[in-house]
Amino acid sequence: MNKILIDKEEIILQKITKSIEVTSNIRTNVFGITKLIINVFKNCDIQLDSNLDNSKVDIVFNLKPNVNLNLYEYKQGNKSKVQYTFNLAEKSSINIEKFVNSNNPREMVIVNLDGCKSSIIYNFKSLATTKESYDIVVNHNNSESKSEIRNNAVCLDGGKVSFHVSGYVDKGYKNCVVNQNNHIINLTDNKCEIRPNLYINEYDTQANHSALIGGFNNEELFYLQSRGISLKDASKLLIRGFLLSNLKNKRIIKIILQKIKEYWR
Amino acid sequence: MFIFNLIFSIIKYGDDSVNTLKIIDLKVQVEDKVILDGFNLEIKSGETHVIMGPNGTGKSTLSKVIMGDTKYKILQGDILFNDESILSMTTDKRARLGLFLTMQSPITVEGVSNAEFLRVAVQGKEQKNFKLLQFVKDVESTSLKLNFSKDFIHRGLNEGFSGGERKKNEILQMYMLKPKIVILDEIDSGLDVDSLKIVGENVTEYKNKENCGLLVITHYQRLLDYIKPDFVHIMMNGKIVKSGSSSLVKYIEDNGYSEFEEKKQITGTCIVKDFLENE
Repeated sequence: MNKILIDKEEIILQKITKSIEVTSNIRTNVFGITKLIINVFKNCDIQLDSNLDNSKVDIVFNLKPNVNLNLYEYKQGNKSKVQYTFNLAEKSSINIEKFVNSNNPREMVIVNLDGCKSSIIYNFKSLATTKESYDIVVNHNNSESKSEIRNNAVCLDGGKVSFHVSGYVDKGYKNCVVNQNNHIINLTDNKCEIRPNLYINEYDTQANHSALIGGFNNEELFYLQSRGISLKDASKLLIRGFLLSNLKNKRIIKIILQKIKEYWR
Repeated sequence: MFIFNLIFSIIKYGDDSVNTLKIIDLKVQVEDKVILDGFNLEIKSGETHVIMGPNGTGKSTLSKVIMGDTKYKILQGDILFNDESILSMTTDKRARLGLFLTMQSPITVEGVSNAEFLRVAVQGKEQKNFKLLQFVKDVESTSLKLNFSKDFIHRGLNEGFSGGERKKNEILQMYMLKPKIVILDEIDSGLDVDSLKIVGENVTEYKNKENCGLLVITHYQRLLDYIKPDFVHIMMNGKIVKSGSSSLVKYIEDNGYSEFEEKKQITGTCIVKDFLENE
């Protein structure tokens, strides 16, 4: 497992294997943007932790053909602005499990599925207590490319989340699969927003999108309570299920469980 | 000597206390529509009551109202458990008191495993008496009895379960939570013959072992091959219109519910026809 830590503006390469090559520039340009470029040559896992404070970071992943990357990211800190770009070559794939528990994060995620049969599975989880904004753009730039974007956020206290997710398929790129599923459990009176967009100019495409903002599902609560589980414990169980669904990385799961414990004592 | 005899009898025969669920003149409304209207019923430990009736007559509403679903508004009447009103109690409190409802369509909760769900539920009920090792043993032996595969307990709650598995999972929960009054809301729907046998036999076994009261809501005789009723009630338009023994089930299967329907008011057309005929 490769391990990279972004601590404020400093990039610390904790453990790097021969599967990847990392280039980093710290605040070299006039805008004070920290840049990190990761080239992935072989199948591997990367653990990316960031603790940002008023930071702007530009992270680029370049995946070579036939490479599979598992990216496990945990983000904390204050007022960060991060742009991620994922460039995937032919038959390369990336599986992302990501948890954000940060103040006022803003993100722009650009996925370029450049190669034929390239694919991404993006599992995003957030426990939001401040304003958070996420823009995700998936460009299907070749045939038979697949994207599965799953965004889950829970809003507490001052939490206010917006997801703008767009999938693009141009004419001629056949047999693409474009899926996105966005769900916010809003436990506040704040206004949250989801804009699920599909821009498809090719008939031979399979596409789905869903967007849901609301509190707990009353039927689920009733079912759990009918087994003697208190409202507090039932809520905790539902949040847990919601935030842990589709995750496999033990470390990310552990961090989320710890955070749930903190917020639902 | 007396104390010794008392302890001996408790060990030998278990808890013989009689629990009673009493529903008195219950009138319930949902979205401006009255569903239950003057419903009365009393269920005691060891008794099996069956409620039958056409679709939309309020059977499932009754089961959810007993469990305290806040979707329904109680307009009049009361529900007593051991002479204490439970109307002001939350659903979880009613469940901890010993009421249990097997749902007609058990829902899926993504990301929550059966094991975790059951542990939280049993721990919530037993509090300080909860013993993890005993819990694991009980889950394993009961799962085996219900013909579940070994990995099922680690799967998401009802996630990817067939209709039959969901219903059997309800029975597993019943075994683990040891309720005093069990309400089975169409437990037989979606079950194949083998699963129906397993469910039916296990409900009867549980009832005989724990001496619980049973309220069975069903449309068909087949479940009653395994769960023998003491009382059968016909429910129409939100209340019981006829009560009897198990022979009533056969009668319903042969004749349907039409004769129990309330006499309809004479419509304008009928009056005109009668008027012309008389002339």
